[in-house]
Parts: sequence; C-alpha cells; structure tokens
Amino acid sequence: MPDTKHTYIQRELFIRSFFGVPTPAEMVELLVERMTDKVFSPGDILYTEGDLPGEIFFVTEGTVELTTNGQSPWIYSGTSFLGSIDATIEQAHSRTARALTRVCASVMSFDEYVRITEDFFDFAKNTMLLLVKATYDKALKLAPDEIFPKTQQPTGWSRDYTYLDEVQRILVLRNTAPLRNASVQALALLAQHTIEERYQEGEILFTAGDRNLGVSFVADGWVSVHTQTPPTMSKVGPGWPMLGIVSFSPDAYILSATARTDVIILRIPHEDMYDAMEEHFALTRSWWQYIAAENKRVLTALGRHFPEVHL
Amino acid sequence: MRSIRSQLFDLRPGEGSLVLESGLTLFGLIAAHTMLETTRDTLFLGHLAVGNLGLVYVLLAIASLFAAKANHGFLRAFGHRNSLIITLLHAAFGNIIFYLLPPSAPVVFALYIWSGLLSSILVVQFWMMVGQIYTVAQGKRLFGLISSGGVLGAVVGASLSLAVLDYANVQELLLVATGIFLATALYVTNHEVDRLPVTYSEESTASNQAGWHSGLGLFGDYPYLIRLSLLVGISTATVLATDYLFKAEAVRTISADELGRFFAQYYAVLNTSALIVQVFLSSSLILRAGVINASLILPTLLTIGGGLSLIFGGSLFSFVTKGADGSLRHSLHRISTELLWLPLPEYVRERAKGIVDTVVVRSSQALIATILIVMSAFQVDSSRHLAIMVCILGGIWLFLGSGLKKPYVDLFRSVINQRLIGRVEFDLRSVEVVVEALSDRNPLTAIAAIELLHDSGRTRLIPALILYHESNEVLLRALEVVPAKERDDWVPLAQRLLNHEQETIRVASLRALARHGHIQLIGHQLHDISPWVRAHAAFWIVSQNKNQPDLHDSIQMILEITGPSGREARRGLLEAIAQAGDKRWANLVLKLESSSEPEVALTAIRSMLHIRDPRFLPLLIRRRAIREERPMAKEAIVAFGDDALQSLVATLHDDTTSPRIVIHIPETIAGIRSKKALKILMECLENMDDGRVRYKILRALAYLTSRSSLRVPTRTIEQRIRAELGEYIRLTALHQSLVPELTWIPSGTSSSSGPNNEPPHAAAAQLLLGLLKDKREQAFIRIFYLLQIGFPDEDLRAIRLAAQSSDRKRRAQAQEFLDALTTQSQITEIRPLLRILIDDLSDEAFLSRALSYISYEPPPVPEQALQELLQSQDETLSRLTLYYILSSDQGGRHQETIEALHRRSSFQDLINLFPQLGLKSPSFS
Repeated sequence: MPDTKHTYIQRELFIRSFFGVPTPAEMVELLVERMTDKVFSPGDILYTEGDLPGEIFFVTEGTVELTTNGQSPWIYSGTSFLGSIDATIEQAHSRTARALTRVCASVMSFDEYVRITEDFFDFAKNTMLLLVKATYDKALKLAPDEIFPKTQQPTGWSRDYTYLDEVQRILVLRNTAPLRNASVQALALLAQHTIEERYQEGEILFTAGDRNLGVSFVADGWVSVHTQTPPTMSKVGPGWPMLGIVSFSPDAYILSATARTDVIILRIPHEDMYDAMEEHFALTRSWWQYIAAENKRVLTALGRHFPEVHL
Repeated sequence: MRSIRSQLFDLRPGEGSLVLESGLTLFGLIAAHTMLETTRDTLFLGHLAVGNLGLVYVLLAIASLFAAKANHGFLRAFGHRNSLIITLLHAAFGNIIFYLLPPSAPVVFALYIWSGLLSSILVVQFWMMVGQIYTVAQGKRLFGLISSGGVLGAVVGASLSLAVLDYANVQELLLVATGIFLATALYVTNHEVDRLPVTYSEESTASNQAGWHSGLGLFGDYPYLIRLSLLVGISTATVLATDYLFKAEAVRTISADELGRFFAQYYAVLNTSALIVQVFLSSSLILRAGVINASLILPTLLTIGGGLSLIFGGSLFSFVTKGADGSLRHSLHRISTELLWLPLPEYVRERAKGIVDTVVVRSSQALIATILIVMSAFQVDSSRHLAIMVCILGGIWLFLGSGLKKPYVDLFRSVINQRLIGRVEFDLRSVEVVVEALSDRNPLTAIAAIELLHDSGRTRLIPALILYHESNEVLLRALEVVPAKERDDWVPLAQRLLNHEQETIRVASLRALARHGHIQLIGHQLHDISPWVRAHAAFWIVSQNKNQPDLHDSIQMILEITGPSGREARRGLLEAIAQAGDKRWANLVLKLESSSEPEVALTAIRSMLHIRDPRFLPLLIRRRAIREERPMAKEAIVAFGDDALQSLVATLHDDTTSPRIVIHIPETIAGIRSKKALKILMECLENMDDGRVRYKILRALAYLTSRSSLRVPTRTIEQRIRAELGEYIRLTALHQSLVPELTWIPSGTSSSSGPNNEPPHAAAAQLLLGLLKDKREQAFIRIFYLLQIGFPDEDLRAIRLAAQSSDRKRRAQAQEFLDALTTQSQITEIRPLLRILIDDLSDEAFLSRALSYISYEPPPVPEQALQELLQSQDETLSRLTLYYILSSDQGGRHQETIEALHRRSSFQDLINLFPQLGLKSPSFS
C-alpha cells in the first residue's frame, strides 16, 4: 500500500508521463495501486540472470547495468522499464540487473501489469507501436545484414498451393513468428480477413512511401525487402511477416519489396488485425512477444558492435 | 462402493495422505483430551461444589492471556508442527505430575485449569497448521473428514475411559491420556507441514516484528475480525451456559459415585452421534447451505433447546440441549467456524486467531462465569434461570451470525480484487508535488500533472503562469484545461498567445477566450495571416448570432476562398464546428461533406459527430468502424437517445452491413441506457446467430446493467447461464472424447506436408483441439458475463481471473465467493454446477460430476464426436472437422461420413480441394 498520499501522487505523475502515449486515468490508477516503491543502493541487484521473471521495474531515477558473461553491458539511465522483455517472452532473465547509482523504482508483478493492460487495448497497441519504432531505430545502427532477422524456410514448408482455403490459411498463420501463440479462434478470425496475393518473380510488391495495405505474411516463395538509407536488403521467406516488426505499424511503407521468386502473400488489413487483437488478447500477447524478442535480438546485436550499449 | 465413498468424502488425488495425517493427529489430540476431560469433570464435581465452576472459568481466562502470548511466540520460533510437538510433550509431562499428586481441592482446581489451557492451545495450534495446508475450497470438502478423526478420537477416548473405569479409578485415565499425547507427538514428527513453502508478505513480516500486541491493530484494519470475535465470544458464552445447565442438572439428578460412569457413558453416546453427524451430514450441509447458514444450525438448536428446557423443565431437555452442543460443536460447528477464518489473509489469520481463540474465548468464559457466580450468590441459578440465559445468548448468537453474511462476501471480494485504496486524495505535500511537476521543463511531466489535476476536478490548482511554458504541447493542453468562468487570471496570458508563431496555439487561445465570453478579444484574428486561423475566428464570432450563422458574411468569405488556402479555411471552419458547433451548422456540414476535396469531406464527417441531426445518424453509425473515431461516434449516437435505436437495430440486422460496424452496435445501444435499449439487447441476444455479435451483446448488457438501475430478470439470467454451462460441458465432453483420436497421429502417413512438415491431418487435429479449448474458454467467459449481468454491483471479471489463476488459493477464494454470492441470491438451481465449474478437477472428474446436471449424452466414440462437430453451427468448427476427416481417412474409417458430406453443398469447395492435399481421393458412387 502506498505509504503516503504524496508518494502515490508522485507515482501517478510518473506513470502518466512514462509511456509516452496517452495513458487512461483509470489504468494509471490501477497500476499505481499495485506498485510498491523500492530504492536500490549502488551495487544492489534488481534481478539475477537465470531467475524466472516475475516483477517489472519502472525506474524513476538512477542508472542500471544489465550484464551477462562475454557480452557488452546494456546501461539504462534515467527513466526505464526493466524486466519486461524476459517476462514477455516467458524466458528466465538473460542478464543480471545491477544498480550503478542510487536507483528508485516502482515495482509490480508482470502478470498484474498484463491483466490491467488487457482492458486498455488502444494503450497496448500504442505502446507496441512505440516499441516497434524504437527497436527499428536501434536496428538501423547495426550492419546492413543485421537490421532484419535472418529468416530460414521452415522445414518442409514448400508446397504448391493453387488456392489457400480457410483451414490452410489458419495453418500458415499459425506458423508465422508473430502469431505463433495466438488462439485458434483468433487465427480463424484473421483467416476470414486474409487477402491472398500472388506475385511473379521480379515483380515489385510495393515501394517506400506507398500507402500501407496491411500486415503481409509470406506463405510461399521469397521476397527481397530493401531500404535506401542505409542501402540494405533482406531476404524474407515463408513464415515471416514481410517487414518484420515494422509490419505492425500502419504507417506508409518505409521499405520496398520485390518478389525474388514466385510468391504467395497473405495480407491482413491493419484494422482487421487490431480488431482481432482487441477481441482476443492472446493474439495481442503473441505480437507483443514477437516484438519483445526482436528488441532483444537487436540489443544483443548492438552489444557486438559497441563496448557498452547505452539506452 | 467407490461412488458412495466419493460422494461422502470427495477426496482428490494427492489429498489422501495429507488428510490422513491431519485426521490421525486430531484423533490423538481429542482422544487424550476426552479422557482428561472425564477425569477433570469427575474429580471436580466430586470434590467441589458446582458453584466453583464460575471461579475456575475466570482463572482459566486469565491464564489463557499468558498462554496465548506464549503460543504466538512458539509458532513464530518453531513453526506450526514443532510447536504442536512441544505442547504435546508438555501435556504428557503435566499429566504425570497431576497423576502423582493427591486429588485435593487445590489440585483438582489446578487440573481443571491445566486441561482447559491444553485443549485451547492444542486445538488452536492444530487448526492453524491445517489452515496453512488447505485452501477454502479444500476446507469445505476435507475439514469434515479431518474433523471426523477428532470426533472418532472423542468416541474412542470416552469408550476407553469407560473400559478403564471398570478396572481402575478415574485418575488412572491420566496415564492413558499421557500415552496418547506422547504417541501423537511422535506421529506429528513425521509431518511435512513446515517444509511447505509459506510466503509472508512484507506487511505480514512488519506486523509480526512489531510484537504480539500489534495484532490487536488488525482488528481496526479488518472490521470482519471484530464481528468474528463477537461471534466467537457469544458462542463460547452460550455453550458454557449450556454446559453449566447440563452439569447442574447432572449433579442434581445423579449421585456423586455414579458421576464418573455417567460422564463416560454420556460422552461416548454424544461423541458417537457427533461422529455420525460428521461423516454423513457436515460436508454436505456446508456445501448445500453455505458456510454461514451451516454455522447458524448450532445456535438455532441451542436456542430451541433452551426454550424447551424453560417451558417443560426437568433434566431431559437440558441433556438433549447439551447433546446438540456435543454432537455439533466439534463437527459441523467447528468446520464452519474454521471456514469463516479462511477469507482472511494468512498473516492476519495467524495473528488474530490466536488472540480470538484464547483471549476472546477465555474472556467470554470469565464474563459468563462471573455472571454465574453472581447468579449463584443471589440464588437465581436455577435450571429455569439458566435455560433463559441459554435462550437469550443463543438468540444473540443467531443475530450476530446472520449479520456475518455480507462481511464474509465483502472480504472475499476485497481479497480477490486486491483493491487497496480508493481514488487519491490530496494533502499539502501532494499538492506541492503536483505543482512542482507543472513547472517541469519536460512536457510529458507537466502534461501528466495537468491531466492528474483535471481528472481529479482540481484544475483551479493549475497556475495561469503555466501559459508561459516553453512547450507547445503543454500550452495546448493548458489552454483546454485552465480557462474557466470563475477565474480570469489566464485571460491576459491567453491574449498574449494570440500572437504566437504557431497556428495551433493561436487557435487554441482564441477558442479558449471565445468559449469563456471574451469574444471582443479575438476580432483581430479575422485578419490573421493563416486562413485556417481566420476560419476558426469567424466561427466563434458568428456563433454569437442567433440567426443562420452559415449565411453570415464572414462565413461566406471563408467559403469563397479558392485554392489551397480555401481548402485550409474550410477545414478550419469544420474543425471549429466539430468542437463547438450546433444544429444551425448542419446544412453547411452536409454541403461540405459532398465536397470534391477529400480532406474537407472527411473533416465534415468528423464534425457531424458533434451536431445532433437525425440526418447524420446512418453516417455516424458507419463511423463506428473507424478506431480513432469510435468514442466520438458513440457519444454522438448516444446523444440521440431512444431515437437512435431504430437506426441501430436496422443496421444490425442488415446483411450488407460490414461486420466491423455490426460488432460495435451492441455497445452503442447499451450506451443509451434506457429500458428500450435493454429490451432490444435481450431480443438480439435471443435472435442473433453470429456468435461474435452475441458475445458483444453480453458485454453490452453487462455494461448497461452495471452502470444503470436497469435489471434483467433473474430467471432469464439463470436460464442463460444454464445453457452456457451446458455448452461448456458439451465442449469439454467432445474435447475429452477426441483427445485419444487426435493426439495419436501416426507420422509419415502422407507424402504431403503443411508448414513445419506436419502431415495435414496432424495439423488439423491440433487446430481442432485448440479450437475446442478456445470455445470452451469463451463459454466460461460468457458465463461470467451473465453472472455480471445478474450481479451488476460485483466485479465478476476479477472473480473470473481469480478462478482462472494458477494460484490454487485464489481459485478457491473465487469459488467460495461465488458460492456465497449465489447463496444469497435467487440463483439457486445452477449453484452446484458453478461450484464444479471452478473446482480443481481434471476434465474427466469434471464431466463425471457435471453430466448428471444436464441432459446430454456424450459421444461414446471419437467418430460420433466428429459427427456432432460436423453439425456445428460454427462454420470454422465444422469445416475444420471436415478437413480433419478428409485428411485422416487413411483406413476408410470415415467413408460413410464423407459420402454423406459429399452431398452437402456448403462443404463442396473444401471437398474439391481434397486431391490438392496429395491424399488419395475417396471414391464415391
């Protein structure tokens, strides 16, 4: 229980400005109620590598270092949100978080946080969009061939579809990275909204600046995705969203795509995707896990290029 | 036999050894105590006058105060198990000393106090140990069984006493009791209890560190504890008065020589009847009547017994009344009282129970004993007077017990919801914190402070000087929030901002000034360099006219601007209308909506959200499909009230309406919050075929009933819940019957492969099982929405989440809350099914219990389950089933089904795909 009214107010002010997206007052109230304040001295451990994640830390001030053997540390200064990546992808902490200075944090259970977020879909969607943008911006600091995850064709995927019926679409969607943990009911709903598109080798799917028509999953074949600055190219194959995590954003395309082979694309308009996510929270969590995993991949890759990763 | 056993004892896998451990421990405790009690009563009433009982009760109460403190220290230092062992060893040691001492009056007096202390401490320690192990749901099922051990111990103790008394004097019983205490102590050393993980919250640790007396502070934090203490106190007083009445009658009617044998025989009969009650009645009574109602049975019987003793006199009714006490106190009453403690957090229970079970119980005994001494002194302690006393105390007990119903449910509710505090209140330090944040250079912090004050209705605390903030975002928000009629300190500052370099700030300033009656200050903006700003200024100035404002010269000038400037001006005008327009602007909006300029047309549509004109209704309903405009569109439609219902229903039933619009209509109807809206939603719930829409209707009804005084008849709710429970059971049965078929998929049966190299039928099987589980979960959620409609003042979502929690104690709390809630309502028929629904049961065990409540015959073989799924109205489910059948029919097992399906046109497209799967096509005649 918050000890005084003013610490409660401080926490409420902090949360209202923390996420960078409109945070409904009711949600702020629920979050603040379930938080406890903790102060860590320099050298104190917030959590240890290998521990199962249970709590998330809204750091209000101070510097925290996340370390693991053989990799560059990630250093978080000022306000930061710690513990959520591992908790989201349901893995043990991959790094130890240690306070480098005096650290003040509001702490709450990750499960509670998820439960509260479930009631505020627009908030969840907006924070996911922010994370997508932040992750992509960080990825642009990487070598061109590291910006996108390396995709491999799932074993035995290739087959000649002449037409993808509803069940086959569900099967394809179920095996894509962002939808792997979605419920069958949600996949069935998405399958109803899926538009099947076919392109021949060499055909341009879209170019940077075009209006975004939805999240596109490669069902069959290979696509080249490329940017102008920095000049980079990625090969995207079956089972992957064509633009990686950026697919989640409805903004105009920032990349171009060309068919490397004959391809089949399953496209879901963003609004249909968001509607399905609002109805089926497991679908939202599935996307969330995919984005968090990609964020972790990018941070790890940055660690290979810099002695310290400052965040 | 197994069925009878399972009906009597509902013992689940893994619980048997724990229950046996607990039951045998209690058996030992009570058997030894019964022998000690027989010795004590015989020696006391044989050596001392009955009037001395009052004095001994007073001394016992004082001794208990010290014992309670020592007990608490024991528990903290040694844990539940070790404390019990230490106490048992002390009990054996003490008994030996009393055996060796001659039975003089002071020794007999001391023996009475000794046995009283032992019984209270041992029983408290035992039940606290048990409370740590079991959840409230387990308690309801298993405490009866555990208590049976105690009652059996009492029977054996009393019978053993009788047998011993045939050959030895009453003091020899002390030796036998010592042996049983020692044997029990030895047995308890094998218990695992203290090795179970027990987590104490920080609150608990802090509280415990603060010392024993701080436990009293918990009574302030938990008013339920006060009620519970009063209940325990009055129940103690009542049974003591009953005991006194019984013993007084025994001394009056039975010779001193026969007392020992009488007590041994009487207790044997009493305990045997208690055992029967325990084994055959307790658990089922608690499950059927609920904890609170079950706890009222004993006071009811004592009140009636006291009344009959009063009316008819004689010893018969006194003995019978004591019989009721003896039969129920350690069985039904003990269980229901222990269950009354379980809603409390563990650390509260641990601290408070020790105080209540010793201090409160003994203080109550002391008080009644003092009253009895006084009654004896004034010679008003006849059986008649004592019967009156039992009657009155029993009545008070009943009254207090009945009053516990609401707090009991409330406590579960608060534990499950974990709502700790209400809306924040400000104190001086809080205000300082917020005001400091307002002047923060970080715009996010400053805006957060503005929002916080705005949401809590304290915008007056925002200083007008915030309009000097360097951030445009802060200025925009402040210009919306700060201006108010009752203050004018912001006016010169807003006027200064009319010359701001940013158009948006200039517009926000002129709007703020105009809205609060300072029109004269914005005239200059009609000549602003920006057409967009000029349009806003024109709108506000013209809006003052009562005539048709769109015909005003200023507006005509805006409309006549051409090119990109004209487009900006018209967009500005429509935005201003969107913010503060009224019906007078409707024609202009309609005119601009048909503009060839897409941006202008879109802004016109958005401005319709704020103008109440029936012509806009169909358009507004369509705007519900657009995420960003949904809240505004809903607000605009709802403003029409019942007038909007016809359009909404027509859109809902129109087959051409986009599903994206349809699914938002129920929520919009609910927003109208009228009787007519409720009626329409109920009708739609009956008539709509689309499961998604029905789900939305349920949500809408839950919203409507919880935010208004409108109610759905209980009978209707109960019927629907029953239907959903039936669906849940049916889906579970189908899932259960398909698991053997669908989880055994031979690999390599097909050359064709889907994603991840799965044979198609394996993938289809996984999807089918997954879909069945999803649909079952949705039925579960629908049940809770219906409960929400039935109990609009409760937060049933929190209960559902607790019911689905991985924490077994939270699940048990949800089950008990729901049980208590429905016990108090008219929803009675489905109560047992709801209890089973949340119970910790495997699918198989769930079905074995649930199927007896509905008329559904589960498919005996997987083929029939598949047949049933093919007939499902849910197209995804039926098509997925068909897909599985087609792709898995290697041995021709489904040939008959496939032939039948071949004639069903709706599946034709899928059947035509069959060769594509690379599988051998079945031949059809």
